Amino acid sequence: MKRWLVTALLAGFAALTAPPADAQTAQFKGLAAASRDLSSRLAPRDKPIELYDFLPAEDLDALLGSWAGFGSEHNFRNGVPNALNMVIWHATLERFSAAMGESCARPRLAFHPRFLATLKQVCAWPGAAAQSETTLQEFWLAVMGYSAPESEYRAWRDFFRTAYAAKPPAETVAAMTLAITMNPHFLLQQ
Amino acid sequence: MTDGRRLFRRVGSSARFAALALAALAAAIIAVVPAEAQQRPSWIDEVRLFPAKIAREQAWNKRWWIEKTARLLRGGEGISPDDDIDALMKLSEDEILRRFMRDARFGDTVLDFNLFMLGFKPDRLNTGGTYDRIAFDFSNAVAAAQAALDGGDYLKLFDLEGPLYLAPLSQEPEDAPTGQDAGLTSPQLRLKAFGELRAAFAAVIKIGKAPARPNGDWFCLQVGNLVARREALVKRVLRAFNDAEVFVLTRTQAIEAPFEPVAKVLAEECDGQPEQWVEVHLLVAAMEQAVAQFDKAFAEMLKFEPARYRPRSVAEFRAFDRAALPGAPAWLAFGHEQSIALGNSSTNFNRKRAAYVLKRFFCDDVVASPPEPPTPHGEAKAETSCTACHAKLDPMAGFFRGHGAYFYDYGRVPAIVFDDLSTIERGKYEQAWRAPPNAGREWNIGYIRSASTPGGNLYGSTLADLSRIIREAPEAKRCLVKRLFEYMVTPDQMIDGGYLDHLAGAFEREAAVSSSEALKNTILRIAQSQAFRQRNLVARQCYDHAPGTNPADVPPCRVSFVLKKNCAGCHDSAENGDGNLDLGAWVMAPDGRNRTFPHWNKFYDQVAPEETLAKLVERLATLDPKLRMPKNRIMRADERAELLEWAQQELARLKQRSER
Amino acid sequence: MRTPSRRQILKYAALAGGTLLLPRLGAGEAAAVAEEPHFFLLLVLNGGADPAYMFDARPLAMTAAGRIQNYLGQEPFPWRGDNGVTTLASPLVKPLLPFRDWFSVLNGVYMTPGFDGHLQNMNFLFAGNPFGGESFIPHLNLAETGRAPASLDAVSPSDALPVNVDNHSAVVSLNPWAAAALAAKLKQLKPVQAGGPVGDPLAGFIRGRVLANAEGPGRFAAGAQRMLGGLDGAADVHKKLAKLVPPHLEAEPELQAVDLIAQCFRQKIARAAIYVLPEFFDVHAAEQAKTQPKLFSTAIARLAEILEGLDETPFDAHRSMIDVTTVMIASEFGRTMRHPEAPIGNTGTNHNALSNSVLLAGKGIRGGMVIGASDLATEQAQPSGAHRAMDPALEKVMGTPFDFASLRPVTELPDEFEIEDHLTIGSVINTIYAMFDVPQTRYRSLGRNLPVAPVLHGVLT
Repeated sequence: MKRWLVTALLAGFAALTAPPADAQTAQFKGLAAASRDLSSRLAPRDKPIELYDFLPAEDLDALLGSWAGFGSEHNFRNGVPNALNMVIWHATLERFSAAMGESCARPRLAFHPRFLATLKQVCAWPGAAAQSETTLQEFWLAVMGYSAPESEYRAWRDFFRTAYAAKPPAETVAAMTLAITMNPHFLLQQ
Repeated sequence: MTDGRRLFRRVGSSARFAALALAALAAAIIAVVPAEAQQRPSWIDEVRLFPAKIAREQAWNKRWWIEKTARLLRGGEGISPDDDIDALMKLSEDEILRRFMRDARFGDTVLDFNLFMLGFKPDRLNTGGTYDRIAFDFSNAVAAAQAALDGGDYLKLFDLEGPLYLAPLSQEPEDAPTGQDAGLTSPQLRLKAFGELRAAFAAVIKIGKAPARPNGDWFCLQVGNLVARREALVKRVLRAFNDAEVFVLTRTQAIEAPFEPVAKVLAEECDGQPEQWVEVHLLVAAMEQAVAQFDKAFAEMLKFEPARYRPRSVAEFRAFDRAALPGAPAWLAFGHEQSIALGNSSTNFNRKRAAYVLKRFFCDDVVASPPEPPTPHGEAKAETSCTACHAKLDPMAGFFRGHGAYFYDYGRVPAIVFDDLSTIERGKYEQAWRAPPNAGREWNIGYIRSASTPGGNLYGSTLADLSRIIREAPEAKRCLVKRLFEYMVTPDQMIDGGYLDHLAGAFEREAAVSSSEALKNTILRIAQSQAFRQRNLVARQCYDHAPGTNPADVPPCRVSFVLKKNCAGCHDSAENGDGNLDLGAWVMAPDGRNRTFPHWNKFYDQVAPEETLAKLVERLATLDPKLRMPKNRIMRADERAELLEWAQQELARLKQRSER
Repeated sequence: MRTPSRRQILKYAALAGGTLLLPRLGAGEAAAVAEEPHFFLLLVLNGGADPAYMFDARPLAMTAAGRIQNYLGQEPFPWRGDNGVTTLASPLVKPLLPFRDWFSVLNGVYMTPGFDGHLQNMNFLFAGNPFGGESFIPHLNLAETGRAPASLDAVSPSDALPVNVDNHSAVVSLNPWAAAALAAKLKQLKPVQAGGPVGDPLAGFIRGRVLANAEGPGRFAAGAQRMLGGLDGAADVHKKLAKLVPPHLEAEPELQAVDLIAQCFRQKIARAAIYVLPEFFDVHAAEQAKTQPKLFSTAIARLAEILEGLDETPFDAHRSMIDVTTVMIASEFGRTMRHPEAPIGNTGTNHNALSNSVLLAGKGIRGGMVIGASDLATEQAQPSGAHRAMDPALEKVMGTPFDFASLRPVTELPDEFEIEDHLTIGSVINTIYAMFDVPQTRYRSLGRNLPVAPVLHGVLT
């Protein structure tokens, strides 16, 4: 009787402290999938957006999550977030976001006409039209799609209406894009 | 006196102390337990209080679901500015799904899934509208995807021989051409290489067709020299192709094989007989035939030049006309990628390939989850798992016995060359799979369901037999459905066994009529499942059950998989299973309130759940090798932790309940 | 450590953008260095390297008798350990002679019972389980060792190894050139900031959204939790990576790798490193087996370069990299003596998990020892009953029984095989665990329902 209690206790402590396996964590969707998501919403079909072009160095895409295999073992690798791949994601998305911000002056990327119209509206920031619910939601949905719940949009919208109320458009658009693309709902598989 | 000792004295006994600590621990664990599915969800109150807010959230969620299914079913492309999502919102979920499955990009999804099923899913199938080479490499995957698009037989995925899909030929050489080839593009180099080969033959043919008959011996020498240069000439042609293309040319013997008839006639005509008896015209005819064969094969290859062949969808993938190849050979579905990944060394005896087939087509991962050993019925089940795995692996491996390096078929030659470049006499090698005398069959080759009960095993000897076995085995269809669930939801997500049986059963029934419709219907079911709708899945929770199922009648989904995999093989019956315990069932406990595993004491009475669970905890947690469970099996650490955690939570819950 | 020659100093001063010039340490970095530094470097000989071409050689008489192939054709020489145990070493190891006091040789190491596949044995090396599981490498970086964890568990400046492990999410492939290009770019970019009242509000908002999604159970929440941990460590890693100095263009790949590893260790970017030598030792075919002298010659030259590089590369003002790094050199298994039916002068070799060789060097290791042995050392040697049971065809050499107290091989010939009497890879890993203060709950057992593999205390300083 005593022994099973003690054993159960020990096992309980072990269970509490056991870390979750990597496999039971949502992983990054990977650079290819993220590029596809942005392309389908922002770019014309024949000129997709390639986040690879914004990597801080070549051949780092495998560190952001990709399918790889050998023999009969094939699985998604390097997708679990860690400090290094967060640095690389951040650097990549910051450069992409900067390109979006610079597109206020002159489009740096090939954009779908519909998104271009939305971008033009947001680039009138901090004007009233740029801060309108319609414009902000269109911009959010263009970059994020419906991957995130509406609560995320509201938090993003409220933040930029306050913290960026008086900032210039290029900086604001870049920051908006970075805030969306660094959101877990954009980066992680669902 | 220390605080600990004070507390101990207050508690009064070590047992009571341990029990209190356990309760405190359990309380801490319970605090992070996910909400049970049966608890009343809070949104019910929210709907009542904030109907507009909920309606807006539901609309947003429905848009999320639409975008998720669009991305899933349209080759990764979600909702774009060209899609009218408001119009889609007015449709039912069935209509939305069927609309997306009519899109040409659905072919990409099916191909991508097929590659996932086969264990070779890439990050992307195409780049900027141009399909990557890997998309063409798995011919059964392509054939099945095309069938899914045009209502054909999707189960071509299980055919291990079939059409050959060549990728558009390379635009640029892998290594920059040098010397006289310098500056040529790949298409130009290919034409030059073909031309050189033709020219080599034409030069000798011209001699043979001259108005004046050439000297027989001298002509034999010219033809002999040509045949002797075969290897060099072939190498010259192959310089114009990349590795994947060389793989196809080598496997099909497109360039080597036409030399064979010439060599045969050469041997017949030029075997030392007097020169005037040499039938020059026969030699010329053989060479002309070889050239005609080259022309036929080259003409078919040139149809795949990138200027002429640029498929924009899977439906546009074109099969290579194998009738243009010497002997119109069957094409093995194991292409370039698989040939590299699934090499067979001289000591491996095709077990790697066997393990691959079992894992990918039958979801039978003998490596991760060793089967029960083939011990005689009634004896101790605890045995080493070596025999258990090999009893399944070795017979499956026998289907590949004639395929050596790069899956090359050595069935017509006396020796096999392996991927490690060793060779062995083929007859001797194949002895490993000969059936013993009186076995009633020639080969000990097949799909072994159980080594201890052979009645359910399926035997054969060729890869065509293996394809037939896979097509007919319900396990393969169940595996296909399971993989589809993993692809659509996420790998490593718990799925209730009963729900999977329900999906697989429906697929099997529908596939008897139309396998492509069965696939689409299964996609429909999974896309409308609870698991698919979750944003934040709990890995060990089952969200769906078979219609009419009461989840209370089976062990909690969270642990039933772990129990089935690690424990229920031995603990399979309260009447005569090990320990008189059945860890695969879930029955009402003697107290009439709780549920527990069937577990009988020596008087054949059901044991109280607390005692069963405590025993379970003890046997899982102990380090005493004589007591530690599972006996003689490897249990993954995370599964052991999962089962322990659940057992402790159950114990705590039972204790709480009994104290009320 | 050896005193470097002037020529060597000049040679290494030309390397690596001057890592001999120590960076000025900030306060944080100085504090980090104040903790006793200890790192781990695993050098892998991939494919199953034949110990007979290194430190477990056989006399030519055995080749003449047709027992074991030897394509070098030179008599091995005795390699005497300071502990009184001698083995035979192939002349190919001579480039390692200057380092003989640095490393100890472990022969006759038993790998996985019952499996001779590459993947199974590589899994066994890393995870103690032929089917995979938790790798030992990240365990060396856990907080429970008493050391503050490095940002990453390990870096690997070479091709990735095929292993089925569950916990390599912080074991990162990072070749020197990619690292250098990344560093150059990161210098131009602002590090991810923590945000908060005095930080960048955008960074604070981003972090806030990650945090908001990291609560509760579920995969997504767990992923967001990991993102949060990564985000919080990212600024530190960004700054450290930005300081990486590009490798010198003309340095050999091994020295470029050593330099990158040294920088990663010095900055606590990683606790460990894995370097896979480019040579592939799986020589089943005779033609491949005949290349072994050349294969081992180049591989051993690389190992010598790496050891020398570790010695010449400073960790701080007082210590070199070898002073703070434990080094393990291993392959996934050894090899058979020959093919049974091929002529001795034209034979390849197959896998042999019954006898592997491992070298241990660097911090915490008593160098100069020879530990363990394999059987069938001479033409006259007789196999034990245990050997015949495990290898009826007598194609393999097998580790002899082993006395863990004296660290000496035992000469008796047991009739039955008992794994507790043999030196196993489990003992090697547990010895490394002991060095790194990894809790004993993580130690490897000898097998299912068997005790923990003993630590080789005698090899520890």
